[in-house]
Amino acid sequence: MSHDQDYIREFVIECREGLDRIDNVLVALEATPGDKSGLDIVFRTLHTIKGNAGFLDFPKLGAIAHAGENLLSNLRGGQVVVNANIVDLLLRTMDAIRGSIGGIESTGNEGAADHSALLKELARWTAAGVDSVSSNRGQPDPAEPNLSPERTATHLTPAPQASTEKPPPDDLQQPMPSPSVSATAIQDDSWSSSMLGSRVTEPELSSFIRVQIDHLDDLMNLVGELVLARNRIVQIASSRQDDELTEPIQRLHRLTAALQDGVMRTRMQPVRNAWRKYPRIVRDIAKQCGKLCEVELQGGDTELDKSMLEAIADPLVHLVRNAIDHGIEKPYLRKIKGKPETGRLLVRAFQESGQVHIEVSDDGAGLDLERIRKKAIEAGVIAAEKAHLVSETDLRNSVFLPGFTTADRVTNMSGRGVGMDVVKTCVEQIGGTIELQTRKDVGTTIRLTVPLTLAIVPAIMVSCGPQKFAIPQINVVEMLRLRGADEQQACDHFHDTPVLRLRGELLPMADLCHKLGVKSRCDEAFRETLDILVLKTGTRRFALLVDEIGDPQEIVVKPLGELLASQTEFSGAALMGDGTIALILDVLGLARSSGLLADSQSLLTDSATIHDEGPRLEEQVLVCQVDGDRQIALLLADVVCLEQVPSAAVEHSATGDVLQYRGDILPLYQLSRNKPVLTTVLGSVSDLISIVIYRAAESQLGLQVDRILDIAPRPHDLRPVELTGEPESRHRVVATAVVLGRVTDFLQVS
Amino acid sequence: MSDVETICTFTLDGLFLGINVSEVHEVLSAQTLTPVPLANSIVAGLINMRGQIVSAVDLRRMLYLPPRTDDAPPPVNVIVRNGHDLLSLLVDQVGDVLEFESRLFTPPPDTTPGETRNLFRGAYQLPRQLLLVFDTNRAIEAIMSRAGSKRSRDVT
Repeated sequence: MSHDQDYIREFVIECREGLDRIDNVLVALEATPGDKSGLDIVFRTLHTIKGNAGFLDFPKLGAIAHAGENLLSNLRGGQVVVNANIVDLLLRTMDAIRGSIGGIESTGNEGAADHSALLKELARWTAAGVDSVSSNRGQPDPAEPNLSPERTATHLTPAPQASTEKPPPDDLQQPMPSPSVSATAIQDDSWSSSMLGSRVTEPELSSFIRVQIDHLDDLMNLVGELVLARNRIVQIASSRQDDELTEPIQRLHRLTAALQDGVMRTRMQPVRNAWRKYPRIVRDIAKQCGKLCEVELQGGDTELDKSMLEAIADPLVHLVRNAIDHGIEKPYLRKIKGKPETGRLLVRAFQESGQVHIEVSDDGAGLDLERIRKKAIEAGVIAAEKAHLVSETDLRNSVFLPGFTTADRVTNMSGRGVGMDVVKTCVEQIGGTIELQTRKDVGTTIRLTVPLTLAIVPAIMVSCGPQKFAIPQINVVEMLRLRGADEQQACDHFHDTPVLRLRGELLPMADLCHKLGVKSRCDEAFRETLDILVLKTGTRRFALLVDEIGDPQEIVVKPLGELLASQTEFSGAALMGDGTIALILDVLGLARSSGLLADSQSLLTDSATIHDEGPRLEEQVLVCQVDGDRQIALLLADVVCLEQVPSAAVEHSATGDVLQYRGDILPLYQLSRNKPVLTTVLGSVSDLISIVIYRAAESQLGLQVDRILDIAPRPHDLRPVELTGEPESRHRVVATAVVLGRVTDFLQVS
Repeated sequence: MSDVETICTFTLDGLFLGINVSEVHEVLSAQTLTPVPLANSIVAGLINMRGQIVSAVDLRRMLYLPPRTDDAPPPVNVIVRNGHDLLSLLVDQVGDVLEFESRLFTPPPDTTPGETRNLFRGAYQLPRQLLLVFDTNRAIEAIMSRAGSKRSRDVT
């Protein structure tokens, strides 16, 4: 028996989409049994599946859908009242359909699974209402569970008898067990709309086409090439200084950027797609564990490259499962602790600094760090006398160690389960990082940070000897340029290990040239400045000394090929605008191969390099000096980068001061009320001015300050200020607080 | 008239070598090599082949020949396919594409040491010298194993 494969594929995809939607409707129905609006969707979907199954000749599938449809029809009509058992039964029905579809997809036929028990049960519940309400209808068709294919195929309309029935008498209503899970509070427009049975907000089906992902990949590669070709032309043109070329090149520049953006967007998918199953998963796991849990999903619209989304889908489910299984306590325990009996799970996604962050938080037991410490000593992983030196970060991170978690049961007992190491590996494979924050009895938050897309990566270019290397920005925490006295103060040795002293922390430090065996351009004895990057991989940070830190660039990642597959220090290569090749440093591999990251065992004993995770970007501010002695602060999350340019680089246009910056024209604003001073370098006044490149809404602009002072944590006691800025100015002071020992104005730029 | 084999010929430290023309993807003039730090010494670096990044193998090192002198002209890239990947073999100079009668072909003598035996399929006897013919599949295999990477795909 052979079917048109295309039809079947379409059918499978359509069914899956429908089933995912149904699951959530059913779970919501369980929470609010009175709300029948969602039943229409379930009914409609089953109806469609039945019809298609008949058409494509899948009699078993048709029979299940038909039986389900009958029950639904009575539910809609009110002859049968929704209760937990029915929801359970319906969910099982969906699983059976899903199983059939899986078989159809892989083998082309529906397999030999026997659904007669399910069909009987469906028929029983369908009859439960009809029977007692109107005995004159007679018994439900006993042949129901053994529907013949012909019958399935022809019965495309719902059985009409159900629709006009009166509601059942009260005594018929099943005693309703209180729903064990409620999956409400979903802050997601398309979900709530589909739950209400209104599909107005969903775009017309005809405005979509399905495209093979390969085609998009090809397009993406071609656009990548185009970008490189453009870069090359831009470079040649800028060396020619031909005015006639400038205009068309600007246009080419804009068009390629728009094209690149557009193609990238076709591959983007909202994270919601990976979350669709969550209400169902949460319900099932909570039920299995005997717990109460509601899930809230925030930021489902956040978009991510399809391949990235696929890569993190399973790890995320694992985190959700863990949070319920190990994080959230049993209801009686929660009651004792004074928490609401129903645990709360928050899955949240948002975009920040060109990366996507996804958090899974629970308000459960949290990790008992002291317990982990004790267990670690017992297991001999850390020495008893050293145990007090082990930081909380390391104890927290011990859940990511493969051996430690699984074999020892330490973390199982204290709150986290098996397989976190696998989650970590998955996330790191796609260039992401994972962090864990926990407080005993308050809860645990796990945050995944992943790049928007794998193909184009924002990176910092560094040079080392004659060569340039790219470091993905996701790994860069901050960049430092140290001079003279600063240098001696900051760079130190902990016995033999070079370390960087950074705001009271000790970070292990490595010299990139040295590690790569490349001859440095800088004479070590007479280095005027030291360029240092603070890098992070996972929750560990270390400092990397390079010859020079260059510009940030968007690079197109190319694989290194088989010959260099064993080269763990590099994750790929990228073509630069001038056609040269830059290798992309794999920060994790580099750290491992240069001994900056101890392996999992000594991670806990090697306390010399231990430090806590730095504050998050949104909690930090950039402190600058203006008007000679006034201190101002900008949110670091809004700062793109810091530049020093010759004062002659500032040009004037009709709209005010402007600055040419990486092929763009940036408006430049003075933050000083007086004439700004020139930057002092090595004690003497230079011709350089300091500029903060700032992201305001969609565009970037330059803010000129006297001096850039430091990065500081954002103080908690911000005092709001009345508007003081001139009405026409783009920036205004919104608050003041004491930062770095001085009163500081907090600016907001629009 | 017996069968003929078409061979792309090149030289390496005075040796006359060849690869069956069907196994050569293309020949590329000297390109800028980007060295790969920490890689095995047979890896000469990366080249930019019209936007595609291709690893280049130093054949002299692979065959334990003396390194190219500084004043020698830069090496030419003979690009071969390795599965979906491309690989550049750096040679001193590329010669003509020549046709040889199969009856002139001889397998390597039994006394050839192991590694070389694996690299070459045999030789064509020419009046003045021998033309050694690479066994591309096995040569790539040897290159991969020396570079320390696993070889997963067969040459197609």
